[in-house]
Amino acid sequence: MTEFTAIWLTAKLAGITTVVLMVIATPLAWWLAHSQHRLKPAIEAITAIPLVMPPTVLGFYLLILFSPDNALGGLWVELTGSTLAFSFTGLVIASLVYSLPFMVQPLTAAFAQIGRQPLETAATLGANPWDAWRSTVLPMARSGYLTAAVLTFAHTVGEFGIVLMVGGNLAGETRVISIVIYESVETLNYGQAHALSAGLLVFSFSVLLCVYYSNRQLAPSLLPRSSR
Amino acid sequence: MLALDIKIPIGETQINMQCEMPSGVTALFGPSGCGKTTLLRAIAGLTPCSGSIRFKNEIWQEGDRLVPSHKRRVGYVFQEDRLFPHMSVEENLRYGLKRAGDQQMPIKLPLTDVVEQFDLADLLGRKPKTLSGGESRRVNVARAILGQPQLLLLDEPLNGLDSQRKAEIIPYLANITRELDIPTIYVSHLNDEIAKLCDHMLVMGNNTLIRQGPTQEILPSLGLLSTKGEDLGEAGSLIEATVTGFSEAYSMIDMAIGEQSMQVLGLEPPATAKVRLFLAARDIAIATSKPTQLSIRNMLGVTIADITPLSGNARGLVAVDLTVDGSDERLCAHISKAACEALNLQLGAEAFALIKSARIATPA
Repeated sequence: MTEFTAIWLTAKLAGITTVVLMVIATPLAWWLAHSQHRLKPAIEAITAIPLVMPPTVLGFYLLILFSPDNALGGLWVELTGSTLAFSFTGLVIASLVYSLPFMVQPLTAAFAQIGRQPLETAATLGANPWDAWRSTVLPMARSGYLTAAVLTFAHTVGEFGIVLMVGGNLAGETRVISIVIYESVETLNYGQAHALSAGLLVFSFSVLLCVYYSNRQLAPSLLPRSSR
Repeated sequence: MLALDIKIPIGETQINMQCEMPSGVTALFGPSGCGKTTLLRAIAGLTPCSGSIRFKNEIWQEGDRLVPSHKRRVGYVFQEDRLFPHMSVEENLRYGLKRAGDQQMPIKLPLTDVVEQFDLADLLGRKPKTLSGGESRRVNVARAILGQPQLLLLDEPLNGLDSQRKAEIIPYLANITRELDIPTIYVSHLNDEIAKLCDHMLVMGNNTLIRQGPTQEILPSLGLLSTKGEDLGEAGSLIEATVTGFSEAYSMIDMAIGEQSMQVLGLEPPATAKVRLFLAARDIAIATSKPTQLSIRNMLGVTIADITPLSGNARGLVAVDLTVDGSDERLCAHISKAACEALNLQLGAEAFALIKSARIATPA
C-alpha cells in the first residue's frame, strides 16, 4: 500500500504545483518576454537558478526559511500551529521554487513568439486589454502552456534532493515516489525499487513523447535551455 | 475632423506633425521610411506621442488625458496580415462586430453586407493560414470595417491584390466611406489608387508634412515636391470629362473636355456620364503646331500657363502647366529642358498637348 500512497501523494504534489505555477508564471513570463526593464536580466537569472543549483542547496535554504525562528516559518506556525518543514505545504512551496523555470521558460518563449501584435489588433477592434489578452494571446499560447505544464508536472514528479531536505519521509505527508525508491534500495528491497523506477521511466518517456509529438515544430525551442 | 499637433519620438529623431484633416478620404503619401505608418499608429494610440489629437468633438490626447486605443474606435488595416490564426475567418470577422455590439454601438455595417461585398461567403469556415494573400487582405479590410469604426486607417490595404480585385474593392471602399461618412486615411504610394479613392492629399517628406490639399491640386505637382530625389510616385493631372459615345468595334470611349474631344481606350462604356481622367505628366508631349501622321489620337489645344524647372533627380525636366482651351481644366506636362528651349515655349503661347495615354480614374 505504501507505493499507492506515495504515487497518489506524488501526483497530488505535482498537480498542485503545476496549477499554482501556471498562475504565478503567466504574468512573470509575459513581463520577461516583453519588458525592456534594466532589471530584466537579473530577474531572468533568479528565475533560472533552480536549473543550475544542486537541489540540496535550495532545500537547505528553504529549510532555514521554514524554521519557526524566521519570519515566514514563524508566521506560518502562528497562523496554523504547525511548521512548514516536513509538511505537505512545505513540500508544495519547495516544488514551486524548484520547478519555476520549467513553467516560466516555455511560456516566455511562447509569449515572445506571439508578440504584441495580436493585442494591438484586438485593441483597434474594440477589445480592452484583458479581453484582448484572453481572446488572442491565451489561445495562441496553448501549445506553450501544454509544454510548460507537462514539463513542470514531470519535473516535480522526479524531484528528490529538495524533498529529502525539506520534507523528510512521512508516509502520506511527504513520502513521494522518489523517496520510496531511495528507501527500498537502502533496505535492499530491489523488487519494489525496480517497479517504481521502471514506472517513473515509462511515465517520463511517454510524457515527453506526447509533448514532442503534439508540438513538433514548437517544442524544441520551448524547452528550458539547460535541458536541451 | 481630425486635428493633429504631435511629436512622435523614433530613435534619435522625431516625427513632427501639425495638420487638420477634412472628412472624406485623405491620402497619406510619401517615400518609404518617411514615417507614414508611425503616424497612423500614433493616431490609433498604438505608438506613444506627445501633443494633442482631437477627433471631431472628442479629445483623444491632450496633456495627461489619453483615450486608450480600444476606446478610439478606429478601424486599422495594417500593412501586414493581422488575422488571428486560431480563429476561423468568420470568428475573425465577428471579433470587432461583437465588441461593437457589446458596447451598444449602432451596427451600420452588418456582417452579411460586408461578406457579400468582399465576396467572402466561401471563406467563412476557413482558417487564416489556408487563405491566399489576396483572400487574406480582403478579410483584413472587411474585419476592420465590421468593427463599426468612426475613423478608418488603411496602411496600403490593397497590397498584394491583383488589379482586378483592386478594381472591385476600390469602388466599395469609396462607397462605404462616403455613404456612411467614415473619414479615412489611406497610406499609399500608388497614384492610381489615390486618384480613384482620395479627395484630399497629405504629402510627407522626411518625418514631416510637406504639403496638403485637394487631390487635383497636389497630384500634378508631385514631381516638384521631390526635392531630394525621393520617389514620390507619378505626377499627373486629374481632369473631368463628359462621356459622349462608345465604339464597340474600336473599344474607344468618346469624351468631351469643355469644347474639345478625346478618345480613351475602354472595353465598355463607363457607368456614369462624367468621369475623372488621370493623365500622367510624362505621357504628355507638347507641339507648337498641330502635327499630322501620328499614332497619338488625342491632341488638345492648350495655352501655356506656367513653366517650372524641376530639381533633384528631375533637374533635366521642366513642368509645363497648360490650360485646356474652351474649359477650366489644367494639365501638367513634364518635358525635357532642352525641348522646352528648342521649342521656345513662352507663357501665354498657344500649343497642342499630345496625350499618349489617359486612364479613367473614377466616376466624377
